[in-house]
Amino acid sequence: MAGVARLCREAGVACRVSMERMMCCGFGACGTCNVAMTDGTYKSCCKDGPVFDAEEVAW
Amino acid sequence: MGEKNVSMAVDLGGVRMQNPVNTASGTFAFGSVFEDFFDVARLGAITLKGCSAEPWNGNPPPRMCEVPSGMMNTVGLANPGVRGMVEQYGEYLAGLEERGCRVIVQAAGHSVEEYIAAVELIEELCPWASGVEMNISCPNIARGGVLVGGTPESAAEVVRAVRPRVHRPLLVKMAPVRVPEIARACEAEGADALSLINTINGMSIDVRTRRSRLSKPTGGVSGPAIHAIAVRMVWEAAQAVKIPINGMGGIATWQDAAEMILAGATSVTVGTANFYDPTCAADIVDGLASWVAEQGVADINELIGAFEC
Repeated sequence: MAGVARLCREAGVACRVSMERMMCCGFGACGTCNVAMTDGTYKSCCKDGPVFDAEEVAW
Repeated sequence: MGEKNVSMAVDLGGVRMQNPVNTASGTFAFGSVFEDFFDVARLGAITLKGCSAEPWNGNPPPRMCEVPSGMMNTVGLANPGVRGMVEQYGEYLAGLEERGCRVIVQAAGHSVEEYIAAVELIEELCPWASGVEMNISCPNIARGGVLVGGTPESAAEVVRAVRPRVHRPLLVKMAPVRVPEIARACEAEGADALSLINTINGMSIDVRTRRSRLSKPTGGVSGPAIHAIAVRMVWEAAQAVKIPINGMGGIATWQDAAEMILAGATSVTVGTANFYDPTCAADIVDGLASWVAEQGVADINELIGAFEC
């Protein structure tokens, strides 16, 4: 997925990715399904995703 | 509250709860997401996700994996900071207190100075909170990552520093180590109640990749897998001190909660089970009320520590 995101970036093609994480709850209570963002923060896969813009994910 | 005129109210070191059911820090976020499942105001109390003075990002993924009869986590106390929590949830939490459910704010830190900073902010920004729980099961970064509350001396040091700054009931969330000694040390420094147990350190290794199934080598094991150990430790703590015990560890049913009460817990706290059965804390309130009636007593306080060998 990281490879596809890189190819899209090089070709100037918009790319969205559907992420997967182990989750305890799936409704925003546990904080375990974190996805690292390029700005140094984390987002929850369950509530903020699971689909993210490939550009905002820290591969 | 309850049925057949049984009295369910308990006093957890000054936190006056309408029933003994509480939720564990880190398993209930800041309460609001559970309103989609049930009326959170039916609970005796909720304990918030631990908050530090400054926001913490927490550990990288993966932060959880399943283990037999439970799970393991290394969330690393990710939190928005006391100020961020109050901005996002303060109004909801003040309202929850008015609806009859006590709110316990948990303070997190990596050193005595960080605990002091967290509780001072809580005192300033959370006038609605009924109690403050200090999580002393964090690694002390300045001392090479040893547990802040890993010895009676280090537990006493942090409780002593924080106690004069907290002007409401102070609970101490203990690590599951040296329970009787650390319980006595916290009591001697003025803790109003003890919360135990926190998760038990474990490891899980993927044998194909030879890597940890978490982003760190070890993590905290929770869930029904640790319940029997937790009941034993709550019983030991109840023998060791006079202050009330907030019992937790693998509670998923009213029977698990009743066991904790018999072992000596004044309140019972539901943790991991909130993730896979989000209404279970409310179900436990109902189950406990029926149990009290079935036991032929009028008041649940008569069953605290009523275990007979």
